[in-house]
Amino acid sequence: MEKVIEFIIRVCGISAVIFVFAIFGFVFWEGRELLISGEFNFWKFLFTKEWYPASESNPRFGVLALIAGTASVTVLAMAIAVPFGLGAAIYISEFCGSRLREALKVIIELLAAIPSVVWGFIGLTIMNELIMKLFGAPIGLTVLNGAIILALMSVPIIVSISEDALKAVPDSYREAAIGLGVTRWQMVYKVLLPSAKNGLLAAVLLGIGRAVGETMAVLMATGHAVHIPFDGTPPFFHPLDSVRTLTATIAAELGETARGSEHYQVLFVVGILLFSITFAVNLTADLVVKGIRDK
Amino acid sequence: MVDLPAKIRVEGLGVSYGDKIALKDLSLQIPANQIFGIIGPAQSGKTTFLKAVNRTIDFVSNATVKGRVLMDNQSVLDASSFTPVKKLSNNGMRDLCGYRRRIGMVAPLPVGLPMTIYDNVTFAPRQAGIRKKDELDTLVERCLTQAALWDEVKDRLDTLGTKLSGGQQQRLTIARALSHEPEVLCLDEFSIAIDPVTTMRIEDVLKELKAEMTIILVTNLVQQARRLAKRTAFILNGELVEEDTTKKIFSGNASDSRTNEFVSGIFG
Repeated sequence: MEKVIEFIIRVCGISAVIFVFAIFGFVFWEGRELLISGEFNFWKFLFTKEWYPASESNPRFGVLALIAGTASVTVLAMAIAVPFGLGAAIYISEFCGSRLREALKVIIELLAAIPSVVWGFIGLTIMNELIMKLFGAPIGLTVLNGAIILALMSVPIIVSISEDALKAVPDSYREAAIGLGVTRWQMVYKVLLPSAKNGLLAAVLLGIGRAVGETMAVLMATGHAVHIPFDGTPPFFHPLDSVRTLTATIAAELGETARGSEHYQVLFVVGILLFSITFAVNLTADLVVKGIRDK
Repeated sequence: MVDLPAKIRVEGLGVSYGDKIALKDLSLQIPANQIFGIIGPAQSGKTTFLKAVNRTIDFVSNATVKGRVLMDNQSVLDASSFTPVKKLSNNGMRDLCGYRRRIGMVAPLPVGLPMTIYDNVTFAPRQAGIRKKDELDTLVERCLTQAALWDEVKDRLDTLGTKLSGGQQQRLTIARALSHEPEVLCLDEFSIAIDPVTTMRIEDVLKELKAEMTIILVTNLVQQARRLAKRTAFILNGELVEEDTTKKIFSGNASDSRTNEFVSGIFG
C-alpha cells in the first residue's frame, strides 16, 4: 500500500516535467516540416515585417511587426504596472494597518481572478471609448489600451511577490534603521528596497512573463493590425497605433488554417518563439529568486 | 540618592503587547555620564524598556503604553492611561526621528545593514543632512576608532557591512550607533553573539565613552553589569525589583531576596 501511494505521488510530481517537455515537443513537431525544409529562413522570419501567411501567390512570414507589437505592449504595460505594483507592495507591507492590509490583499487577489476575456471586454468597450475621447484617436484599440489592460492584469502578481520579498527582509534591519533616527521612507528607500531587490526583480520578471503570454485580452484591446508602432519621426514610439501581438496572431489564425499547411506550421514556429521568450523570462526570474535564498 | 542629575527619568512606565503585559509601572532615574546596568532573566521586559525609551515602541503595532519618560527634564513620552502606540503624542517634538538620533541603540544580534561599511556608519548622518565628504570621512574614522574597529577595516571601507565577522559587525553596529553623536547609548545584550575577547575590548571602549555620554547596559550576564555599571536595576517579569548601587546589588544583602538569588545564580 505504502509503495502504491509513493508511486502515485511520484507520478504526480514528475508529470509536471513531462507536460512541459511534451508541450515543447508537440509544438516543435507540428512545425517541423517547415523548420527543416530549405525554404525556411530563420533570420528572414525574425527580421522582416511582412506577415502575409495566407497569400496564395507569395506567402511571407515575417514576424518582426508581431514581435514589435508584443514588445511595445509589454514594455508600456510594465512602465505602468511596475510603479503601481511596487508602490502598492511597499504600502501594504510597511505603511498600512493590519486590518487594511488584509482587505487590500484580498482585493488584489480578486483582481487576479478576473478572467482575461473579461479584461478584453473592458478594453474593447470602456477603454476604447475613453481613449478615443481623451486623445482624439480615430480608434481606441491601441498599444496604450492593451498596455493598460495588461498592466492591471500583471499588478496582482507584482504586488504579491514584491510584498513577500519585502516581508522577507529581517525586522532587525527595520529596527536598526528606525533606531538610527531615519524616517520610515528613508528606511524603505535606503535599507528595505536594496535588501529586497532580487525578490522585487523577480516580481517584475514574472509580471513581464504574464504580459508576454497573455492572449485574449490583448487580442481584443490592441486592434489586431500588423504594424510596427515605432518609426524615425519623434516621438519614435506611437502608443496610439494599433498593433498585433505574437499570441493574438496564433489565437486568431490557427483556427482558419488547414492542418499541416505552411501557414499552420509557421504558427507553431511562432509558438516556439513565444515559448522560448517566456521560458527565458521565467528562468531568469527563478535564478534571481534562487539568488536571494543562497545569500 | 543619585549623585548626578538624571539624564533619563521614567515614571510609572507600563507596556503591554495585546493582552500580554511586558512592563508594569516601572519608575527609574538614570544618571548622566555613567554606565547604568539593567539585569534580569530573559523575557523580563528589558528590551521593551529600551524600546519605550527611544520611542521605537511606536513601530510595534499591537503595543499600548502608559507612563512618562523624560530626557533632560523634557517629556518625550507621556500617557496617563494605556494608549495604543498609534495614538501617542509627539510631545511637542516636530518629529520623533530627531529625538531618536539623541539615542544610540545596539541590538543583541549584530545588524550590518546591507551596504558598505562606510555607508553603514554614514547612513544616519547623511539622512540627517550631512553631505560634505571630508566631514563624513572624519566622522567614519572617529566612530570606527571609538568602536575599536578602525584598524581592522580602514583599508576596506567599501566592502559590505554584512561580510564582516559577527564580532566585527557588532562593533560596526556600535560605530553606527555613535555616528549621530547620541547623548545616550543603549546596549541590549551586545555581547550575546560575540567572543569574550571582543567583549572585553568593547567593555573597555564603554568605560571611556561614559565620559561623553550616558550608557544604559542591558544584560543577562550579571557579571558584566558588575564590572561596568555604577548603578544597577533588576527587572523581573516586567517589574522593577530594585535599583541601587551596583556594589549594594551584588553585595549579597540587597534589599530584596530575589535580587540576591538572581545575582548569585540561584535562578535566571
